[in-house]
Amino acid sequence: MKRALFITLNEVRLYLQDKADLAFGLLLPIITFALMYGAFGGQTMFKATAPVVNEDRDAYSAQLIEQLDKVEGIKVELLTASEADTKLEKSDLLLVLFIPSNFTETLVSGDKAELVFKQRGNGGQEGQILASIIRGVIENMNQEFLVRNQMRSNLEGKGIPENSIEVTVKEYLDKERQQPAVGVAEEVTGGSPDFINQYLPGIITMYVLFSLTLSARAIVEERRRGTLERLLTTRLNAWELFIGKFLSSVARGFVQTFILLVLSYAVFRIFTPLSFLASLVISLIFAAAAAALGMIIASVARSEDGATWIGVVFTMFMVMLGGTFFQVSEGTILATIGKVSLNTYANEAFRTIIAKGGSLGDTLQPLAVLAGVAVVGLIISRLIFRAVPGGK
Amino acid sequence: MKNLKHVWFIALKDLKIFSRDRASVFFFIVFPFMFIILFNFLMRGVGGEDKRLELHLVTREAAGGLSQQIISAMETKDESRLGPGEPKIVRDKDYEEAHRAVEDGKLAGFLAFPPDFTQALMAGTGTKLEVFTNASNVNNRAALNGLARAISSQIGTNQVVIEASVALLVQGGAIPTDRDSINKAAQQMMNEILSGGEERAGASYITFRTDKVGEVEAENPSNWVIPGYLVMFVFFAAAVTAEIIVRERQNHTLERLLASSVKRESILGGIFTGTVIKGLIQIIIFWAFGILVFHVDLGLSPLAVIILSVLMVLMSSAFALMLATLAKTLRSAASLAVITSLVLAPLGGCWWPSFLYPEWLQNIARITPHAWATGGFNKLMVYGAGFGDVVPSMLALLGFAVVFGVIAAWRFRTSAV
Amino acid sequence: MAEEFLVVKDLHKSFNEFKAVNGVSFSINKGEIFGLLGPNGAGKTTTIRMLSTVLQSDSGDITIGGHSVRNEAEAVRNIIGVCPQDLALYEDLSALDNMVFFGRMAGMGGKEAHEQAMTNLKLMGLVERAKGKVAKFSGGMKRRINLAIALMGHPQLLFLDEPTVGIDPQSRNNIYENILGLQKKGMTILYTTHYMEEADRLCQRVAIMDGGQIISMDTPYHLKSQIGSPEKVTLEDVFLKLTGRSLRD
Repeated sequence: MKRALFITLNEVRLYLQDKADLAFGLLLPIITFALMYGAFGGQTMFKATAPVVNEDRDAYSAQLIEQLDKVEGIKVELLTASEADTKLEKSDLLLVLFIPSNFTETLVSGDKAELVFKQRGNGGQEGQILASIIRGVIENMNQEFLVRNQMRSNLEGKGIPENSIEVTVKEYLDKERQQPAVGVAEEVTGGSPDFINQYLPGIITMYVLFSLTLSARAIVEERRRGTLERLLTTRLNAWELFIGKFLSSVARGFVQTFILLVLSYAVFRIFTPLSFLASLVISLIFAAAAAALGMIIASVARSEDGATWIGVVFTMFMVMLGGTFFQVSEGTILATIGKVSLNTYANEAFRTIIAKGGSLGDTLQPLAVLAGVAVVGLIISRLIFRAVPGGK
Repeated sequence: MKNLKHVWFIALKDLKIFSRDRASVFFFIVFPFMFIILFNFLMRGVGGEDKRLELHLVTREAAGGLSQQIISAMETKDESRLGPGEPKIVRDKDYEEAHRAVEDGKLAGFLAFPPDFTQALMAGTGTKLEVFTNASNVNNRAALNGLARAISSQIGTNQVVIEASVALLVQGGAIPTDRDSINKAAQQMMNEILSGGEERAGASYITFRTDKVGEVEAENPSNWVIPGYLVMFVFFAAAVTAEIIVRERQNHTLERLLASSVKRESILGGIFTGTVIKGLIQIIIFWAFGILVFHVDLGLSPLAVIILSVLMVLMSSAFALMLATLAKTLRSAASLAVITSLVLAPLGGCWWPSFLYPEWLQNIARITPHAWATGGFNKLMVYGAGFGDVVPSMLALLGFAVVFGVIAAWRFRTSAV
Repeated sequence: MAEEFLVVKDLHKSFNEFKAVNGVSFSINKGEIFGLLGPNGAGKTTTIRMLSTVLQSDSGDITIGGHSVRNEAEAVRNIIGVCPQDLALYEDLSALDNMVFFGRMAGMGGKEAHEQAMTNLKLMGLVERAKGKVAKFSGGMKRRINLAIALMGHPQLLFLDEPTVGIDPQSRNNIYENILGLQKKGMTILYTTHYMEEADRLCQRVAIMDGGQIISMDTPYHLKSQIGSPEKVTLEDVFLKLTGRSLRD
């Protein structure tokens, strides 16, 4: 066993000296997390393109389009009627605002003008929100007409001159627009901390799994070169060699996770000392399960390229099915399929500790699964592992 | 002519070697499709969501206040009478309960009237509606804000009418100047406005009509899944071939080739050609499968889709060549291929659409060829754009290909054998 | 007077501060097997790489078959064949595929390359394994294929850089017979090796290199005469006397 441990220590030492490996194992998860944080971690806002057909091309339609374009997150796209109809027909668009040709003329004459929403169904989620935003903008435009009309009604027969009404309306409208009687205050809950709790474990487990499955390539290379065979000509026996390689994979995975968790602790302060220790235990067991998978790949692959491909395939599937990038709802088919992924259990355990403030006792089930995978994987890989093709 | 022959033979040789490696062929073709099938399954129904928006209102004001009347007027009493696209307005009875529900993620958000709503309006001190939402629910947040602005605007209109009318009437002597008379007149106007109700709504000068042209059909997820993963896997497969030059160097076959009458440029050209041929085979299979099995819609300009695909292959092959001239060992070639693929794919919108990113990140993504490729495909296949709309994407991919190719040629020319 | 086919004059090559080849001059006559011997790091492989146009010299002249290596590299490559020290094979391809590929690289047509490949495989005793994957060949077979590839394209000058390293006596013997057979047909050969008995057996003349320079050059017989009776002294004795017994890198 001592010799097996020497192999382990040697491999860990080599890992810490290998800049390419360290870049892959440490830098890449940081870059990925930073990317995702930048993309999704802030308070995102609704963004949409408002398709508009403007057959009016006059003052009030221009004002409407200008005000709509000023709304944060909304971009107006002008289309011709035939373009809009074609896109609606093909469902490339679900909602289009049509401004009729006599829009301005009608309003100026004092009559009511009608805008048309051409849509499919309810207009889809985005369409419904666009419609509500457009209605809000129209309400602002409407305000001026409504106020004048109402004022005239209220002041009829009171002998107030028309120009006094106009001046006063303008004065009060301006005042209202600058300082509305009813403002809107927004408060948002959730956001960044949820994002970290949601995605950080997944990204860490993803890259640990990648590292360990790709390290199978190194074992295959050693087998091909004959260095494994050379080790067997020493006093090392096949079991010790195998265990040494397995433990070195576990150690590598653990060291990698340890460094990433320490960085997370330092930057995001998402741990207590106890939860950090609990996370380390989860890391160790996950690393063992991932290492076992890596050993199976090393046993099965005939070439380095084959090992790379198998490692990438397995890892990407486990990552996608394991809820790394999106929440998997309980009871769905995806949740059922996701049970084959190591990441499902590791992410669940991490989230219980980090996000929900649970203890190790609350993670017994996923840890048991991971430990089981490690043991079974180890046995299977030992049965099929050959240090020498056709040999021990 | 001789050099072209060399290029061709080297390409054929690489293709022969590749075709003999059954595991690589399997992963080159089958693996991407496993992903596509999975994501098609996951994404089905996306884009087909047409559920009516549900917006929650609550008031902290005591019974009898103005907010109660507003909510009562807006509340949906019979959903079946709502027109297409009209949101369902739900009244929540308890503010604290609604607040907890949002924090627990059970409710997306609500709009609340403050306890002093009517009093503040009457006193003219101004007040604020509260929109409380969960950060993850961007849609509901936007809708509630829109509704809040509409309410604010309507009330503002009423306030302007009342204040302006009273001011003019006081000025004209129709109302006495004392505070009580003014308040009484204002209250009377307010009551008239409130009792006007639906009639008053009909007084709106700009109205809406909804023309329903059909139902919402669920978007075929293949229209964005296949292009996204095509871009990723064509690039990944090409990047992995960066090992070829490294292997030729390690095998000493590179030296052997140079000692015969093969030029360095021919070797580079041969490897590039072989990689391009593999990429073309990949995209033919992708699109054939996509059209026949997943019923992908190539949009208004299938030619543009084809050109974009071919340019993607050329760019990826040039990148692989550049990578090959940078890598010193097989292991570093493989690592670089995996690293670049894994960083560029999500940044470039292969895993999820890049329009979900904030503006600054979308701008950064433009340094990736992936962003240009997926952007072009999305424009053509999801947004119904024409050929001309994706010419910038085509030019960008061509530019990347040229830059990578020049770097590769320069480095290979100056590198030791 | 024998015609000089390869002429090297005052060849120099340095890598950073290290002088790998330091003023080497020699010539090889047409149809001659010329041995280039030396300990590890003497500069033999660097010299061969410069002669085969793979590496550019810092200074000096090399003429092969009347063509200057510096100015007429293309013409030189058309008349040389190289069997490198390290196996330079595509292991995932068959022996025949490897040979046809390199034949085509050497400018042969498809049919011609195929025929020549089969001829060379027959010469090496590997016709039955023509379609076998090289990765599955033994070390000796790989060496023979390595040599067979060098013969594609009908070269007039052959560079054989330690062609018999690590192979069994039968394979080695096969290679010797082939080399002598090629010489009989007029092939000029530059041969490097660490096996002195090989050089003694095959080479008309031998140059001994050390520290980037040629320290002695003559027929094996005359070299042996310099230190004792040619019947009793071996070329290895000559080699060790001239280059010393200290270990090299």
